Amino acid sequence: MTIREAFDTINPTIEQKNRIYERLSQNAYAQSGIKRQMIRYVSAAAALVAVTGAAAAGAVFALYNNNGSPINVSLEGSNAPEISNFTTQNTTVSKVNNSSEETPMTTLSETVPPTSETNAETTSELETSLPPESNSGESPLESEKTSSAKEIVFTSYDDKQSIESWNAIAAFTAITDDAVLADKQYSYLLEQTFGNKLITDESTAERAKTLIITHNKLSKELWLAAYSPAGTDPSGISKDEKDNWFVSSKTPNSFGSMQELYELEKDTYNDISTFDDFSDKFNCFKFEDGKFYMKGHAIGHTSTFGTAFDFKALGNATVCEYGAVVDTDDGAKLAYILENVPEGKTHYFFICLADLSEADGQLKIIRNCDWENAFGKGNK
Amino acid sequence: MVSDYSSDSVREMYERNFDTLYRICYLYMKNVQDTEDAVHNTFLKAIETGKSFENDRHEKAWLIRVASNICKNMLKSASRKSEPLSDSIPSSDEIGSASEIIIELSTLPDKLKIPVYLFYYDGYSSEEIGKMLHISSSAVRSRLQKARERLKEILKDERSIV
Repeated sequence: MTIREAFDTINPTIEQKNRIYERLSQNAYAQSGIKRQMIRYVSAAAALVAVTGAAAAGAVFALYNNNGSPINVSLEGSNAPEISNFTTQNTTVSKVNNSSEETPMTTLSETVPPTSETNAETTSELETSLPPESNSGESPLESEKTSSAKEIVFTSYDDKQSIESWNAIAAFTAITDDAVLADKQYSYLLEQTFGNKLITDESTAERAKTLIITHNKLSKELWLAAYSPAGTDPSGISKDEKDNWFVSSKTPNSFGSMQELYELEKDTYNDISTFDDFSDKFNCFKFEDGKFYMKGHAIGHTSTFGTAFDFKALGNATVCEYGAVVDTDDGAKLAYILENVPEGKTHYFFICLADLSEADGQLKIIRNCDWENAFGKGNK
Repeated sequence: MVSDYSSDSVREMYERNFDTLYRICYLYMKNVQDTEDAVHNTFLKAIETGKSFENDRHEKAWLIRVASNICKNMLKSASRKSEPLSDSIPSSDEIGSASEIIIELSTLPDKLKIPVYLFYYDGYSSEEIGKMLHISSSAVRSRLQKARERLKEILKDERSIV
């Protein structure tokens, strides 16, 4: 017997087919009128973390969308399936009128005390070095009120499950491995994002905190790898430079050198030929002393074909093209992108970590991402 | 554009993809009831999102991916334990063999299931599957090869991958 013949034995009946369709019709109709919407400011996927180039030890950061405005999130009906739509375009989701007054967007520096004078300084620099869109005299909050602020929309299959992911996403933007600070970040994010209402069980809350600490550590490693602690010049990073990316199913700690990575990947992609070619194209990995570093300014999983990938394009998710975010070999979607683009003295770290899929120019954030596996447990 | 659940386009999409989604979901869920739920949720997602597709292949690829994710999440969120493949597969000798194959297929890693289905059942080439799954054709062939190795004993008569 062949596989085809075997599959033929999985043969739904006409009754089944009709039953599912009838149920589908009923549910589609029901859900069309009962969408529940909440909008909160949130530091979420595709948040831009603005870090001043002068930041030395640690960094104060703020969370903005691509226009430097707070990011809105809408949670829709709890019966919806598990996939999130993520777009920076305006969406059909209406805003809760007073949400901005209830949960004004602040930078983390307003909530989390700076850990050093340096941080205090960077806060000031940060405020004066926002992107042009948000540097027009309006505060981020004011800007959000009056502009066509971009929105993230996602439907929630299970609110509680999604919270964990979203908090992890948000938290990852922090650059600290300090547990106390992580705890404050967690509280902040929880309040800002969900009004402290939706995480009800201790284990989920604890896991979210753990994720914050774990991912903060990795962020810090990456940041330090990109810039020497004492350095202020992001040398070697060109504003217009594009990176070569490729999709790797391998967690950072699964290989210890470029050569090993090459060996793991060379049969996977047509455009990976010799090691020299590979090394030239994807010179972003470095593994030394048991630590995984980003060399240059790129790390991550992305374009299938290893083609040049422009941060600006991804920054505007509407042009995050089909194929730019793809399946990883283990069936998960994009796990991690970190990118920075210097704008004057300010560096915009684009951090996008999610279990992503694509469709029609939109990123889709899929829930229940296995964060720990996706990140190799912080690659320690 | 599929934006109206009652429209002909939805019905057509349903007819085009129902069997495929049912079989794929069944490989994950391993019982009829959960399979029906997964299929239902997949189409519901398509309706809700009002997606438009470039062509039938694009549509199928999207639905397969959504179905796969829905199944995985259903399995996770409910902490369900896999149940034996029992209902819907008759028990004659011939079908007994089919059942064995299905059981083996269901135990394949997720990343292997769908390429196997698309290649062996739907007859897509590795290049076409690569486009659908956004992986390279060599990766598809690699996955198929892995699947063949896993299913070596029961696939003696299958055609070659390449």
